[in-house]
Amino acid sequence: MAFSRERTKGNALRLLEELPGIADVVWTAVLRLSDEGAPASVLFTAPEKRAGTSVLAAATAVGLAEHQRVPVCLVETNVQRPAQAGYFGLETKGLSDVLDGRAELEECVQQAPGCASLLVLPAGTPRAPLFGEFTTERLNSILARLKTRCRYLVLDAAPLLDHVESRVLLRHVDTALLVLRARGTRLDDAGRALDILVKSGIPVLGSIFNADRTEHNARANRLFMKAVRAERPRPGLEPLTLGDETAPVETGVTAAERESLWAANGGGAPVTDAAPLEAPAAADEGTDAAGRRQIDILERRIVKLTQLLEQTEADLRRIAAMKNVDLGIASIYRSVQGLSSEEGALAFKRSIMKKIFQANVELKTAIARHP
Amino acid sequence: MHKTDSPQARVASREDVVEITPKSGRQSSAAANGAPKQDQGVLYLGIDLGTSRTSVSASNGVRESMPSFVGYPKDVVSRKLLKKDVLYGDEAIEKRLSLELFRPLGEGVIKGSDGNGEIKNGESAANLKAARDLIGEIIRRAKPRKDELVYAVIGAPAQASIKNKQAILEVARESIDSVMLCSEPFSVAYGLDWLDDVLVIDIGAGTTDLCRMHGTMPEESDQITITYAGDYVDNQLMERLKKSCKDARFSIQMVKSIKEKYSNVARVMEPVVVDLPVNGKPTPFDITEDLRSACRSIIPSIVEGMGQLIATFDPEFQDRLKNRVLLAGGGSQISGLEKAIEEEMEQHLGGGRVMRIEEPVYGGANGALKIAHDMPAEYWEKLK
Repeated sequence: MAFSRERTKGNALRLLEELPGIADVVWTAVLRLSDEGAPASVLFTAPEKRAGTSVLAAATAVGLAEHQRVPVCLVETNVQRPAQAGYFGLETKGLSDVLDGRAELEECVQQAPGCASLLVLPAGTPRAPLFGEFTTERLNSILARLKTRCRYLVLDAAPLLDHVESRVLLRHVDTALLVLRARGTRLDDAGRALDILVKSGIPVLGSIFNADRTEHNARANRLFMKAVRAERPRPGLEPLTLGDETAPVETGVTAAERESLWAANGGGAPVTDAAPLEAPAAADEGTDAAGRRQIDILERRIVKLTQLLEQTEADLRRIAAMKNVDLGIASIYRSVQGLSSEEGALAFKRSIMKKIFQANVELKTAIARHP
Repeated sequence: MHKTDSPQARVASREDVVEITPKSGRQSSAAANGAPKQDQGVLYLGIDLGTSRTSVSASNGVRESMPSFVGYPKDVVSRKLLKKDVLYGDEAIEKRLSLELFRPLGEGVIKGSDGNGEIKNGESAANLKAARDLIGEIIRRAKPRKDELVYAVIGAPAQASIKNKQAILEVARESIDSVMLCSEPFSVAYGLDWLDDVLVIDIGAGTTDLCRMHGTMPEESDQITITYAGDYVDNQLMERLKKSCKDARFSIQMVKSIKEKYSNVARVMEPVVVDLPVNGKPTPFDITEDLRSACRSIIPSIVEGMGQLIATFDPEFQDRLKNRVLLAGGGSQISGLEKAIEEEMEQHLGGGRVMRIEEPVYGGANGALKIAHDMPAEYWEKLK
């Protein structure tokens, strides 16, 4: 199937629009780093693959470029599993080609179609990462040159626990965002990744709990799935159809990346080739429906338990925080006072109190009359 | 003067704080008034909302006073640096270079509204917001407990418009169960239990309020407000220093600080020598005469106002009124002021006696607290 760059680009932007809240929350968080002087740089990474790092980095870059109308540069550094060229419909040559000397930087930095302020340096020709390639002068020079051309530099990095090179990139950025995937990322992996970020000395802007299907995210997920299903017959959306092993290679999006993209956008339960969320037309509909029901029941249980856990954790945090809360200082009075019968000039003071009260009642009436 | 068991006297020492139960003789007639039984505690607040300083006295022993300044970080960088969205009082003044600084009260009223209570422009709206934040902050500083009823009396300028008073009430109600406004000079007199044949001079930053008390609530004809107050002295001193301290550079804040430290109107006083920068180098200047002249500049107008109130008073009691003049407010802290006013009174009114209250900064707040304490329960209930 012939690949249409324009359709894919349109699809990528529409995908972002169909994720109410996610992109906006992230880019506005990054926005706070902005300084009038040096460009702000942020690195997106995850403990392991399929967390949705690439699509969130892309969403953030688009959000910053669209809303801030300042130059933004998105650099994809996961040379083993490129994705950004596919999302934006760009030429595949990129970082790996510049690092290997096959192309010049200017040839590879491309303007994102439909988003004039966004420059993208894709990961380039897919290959295994090379040890030490991100410590070279060449990479330093690439990032330095890109920083002169933008206000925000967004780095889409390979998973921290799988790729040692990603840790080297931390020295080039102001902050990092950790992408975790609901029902995908293990707690100890998240802890290890966070530990790496903290020990690197750069501030961690926060973490994104991706593909969370608790109640507050359920509506956004449903909207997304509805949109994708409705669009599926269109050729331009074929790369999104999970389990479709015939997806065109020209898009630069591998089957695994498509799963990642699906998951990143609230695609639901962990997806495998053996049990695709959306089976091809030829699959056994009955078996698939029963499987989905079972998954649905299990997922609902997980959601309930997760909510309970979150609530308990919130309660515990609140109780722990109360130790430091200033509860105030108690008054010496336990009940309403008033003039004592022993007070001197009691009648006079009573009349004064009454007049003050009446003046306030009149004021209240006047305010109510002219709100 | 009546001897009273005022709330501020009771809270002066936290060590001898005792819980006052409904059975005590001092207890109000709350139950008799049909008010709901309150067993969670009642905190009374007396608040003096001033152009220069805002003060609070509370029945939990807290007394706080802060300059009436509110500052908001100018941009993202200053917000990151200051780590706060709003700064108040001394901290706001100290960090003013990084802030949009507001002094929301001017000439005794919130700058956010005119006499008719109409918002004039964006700046006025910003002042209104700053005033709201300021009132919220002074209430927070009184450390009210969430489980207590909080009743407050706020001393408001006599000439405040309905819109002004509405803004004060709205903000206060966010953290207070019931609130009342009261004339500032009246609350000073009530706090001291001087309610009969007394002339109160409350010298603030924006205005000086003169109010005569004659055994009833003062009416409009009993009050005069003039704008010869602390800010006027600052401006006078600024102008004088510009002429006498050639080449020196100084701001109105610096002038205000000098005034607060050295203000004096005595005919014989210690020389006041201050260092002012000339081409970046601190250079000593003798400003004794400038300071004395600036501080004395408000006296003629004050005595003129007193004359008006005395002249229209019952002739039989005019002498008594002249001999019972109370000096209050931050501006009354000028050394020798009561003596200087007496001299001016001697010249124009044939004599008189002026007394400065013990705590000029907290006089209004203490009086408002006493009013709050003495207010019957059913009145609080009706204004909730």
